[in-house]
Amino acid sequence: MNRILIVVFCLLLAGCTSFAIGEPYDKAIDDELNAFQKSAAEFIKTMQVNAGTPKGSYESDGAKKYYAAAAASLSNLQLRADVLSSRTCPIAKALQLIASTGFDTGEIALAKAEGQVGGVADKSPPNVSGNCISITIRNIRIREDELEADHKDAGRLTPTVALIDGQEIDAAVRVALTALRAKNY
Amino acid sequence: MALDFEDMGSRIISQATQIAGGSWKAMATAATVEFRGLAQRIALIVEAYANGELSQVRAKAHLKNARFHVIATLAMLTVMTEAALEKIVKGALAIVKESVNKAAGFALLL
Repeated sequence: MNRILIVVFCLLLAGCTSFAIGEPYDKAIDDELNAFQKSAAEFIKTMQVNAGTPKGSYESDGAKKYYAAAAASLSNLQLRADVLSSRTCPIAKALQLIASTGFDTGEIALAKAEGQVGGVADKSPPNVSGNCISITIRNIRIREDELEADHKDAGRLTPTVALIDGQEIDAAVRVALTALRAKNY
Repeated sequence: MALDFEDMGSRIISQATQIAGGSWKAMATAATVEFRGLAQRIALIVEAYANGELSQVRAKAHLKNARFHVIATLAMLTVMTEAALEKIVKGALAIVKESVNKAAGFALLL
């Protein structure tokens, strides 16, 4: 108890009336994430409804316009997130914590699913550089790339694929917003 | 007026306990939502591959990138932990400042 009080006194005497760790809240990122999620959801629904017609194809004007706008929006979001702080997100500690609680069952589920689709994809390590908000934005960019690759590969968005891509984008945006808003108090 | 260290200490501990409890609940809820959602999407990817909606290359890519969602979730939990710590320290600073100023009888700490 006394040690805590001494530390707090020292902070006060040093003029530390405010205390912050990591990335601050950024309203512009919050707003842009909301706008991106809305446009992605609208686009996926439109493409799904028009699947099999020229309007729903990857080559359609609507698709070209959306993918270009989404790439620009996410590139700007990444830039804004990257400059929030110059540190590297300390997720190694969190990884240890999660492993100790037995959450690694997710890895077992993934390995099983990979067996069902004919083996693993390339095992290149993920890019975990940058601050914590940067990582969450990178996750959204990966989901957006997945959507575009699925659309390009099949030429259309079928119901299950539309559902997967929609849920992946929603989850990635939710994670980024939750992280960002944790500092908005 | 003399500084009541005992009272100040208990107020700091009480506030910190409250913040930590609330933050832990929020973190547990967020993590549960993400890991459950991920498990459901993994099942959907296998289903889409089985019914021919996803090619093998695309299904493998989805599963590979599913791991990055776990990393992003850990980054989110890290930020939430840091936010809780910030709130605890800021709360403690406010309590000490208020107690010192009250004991001094004027705004000694600004």
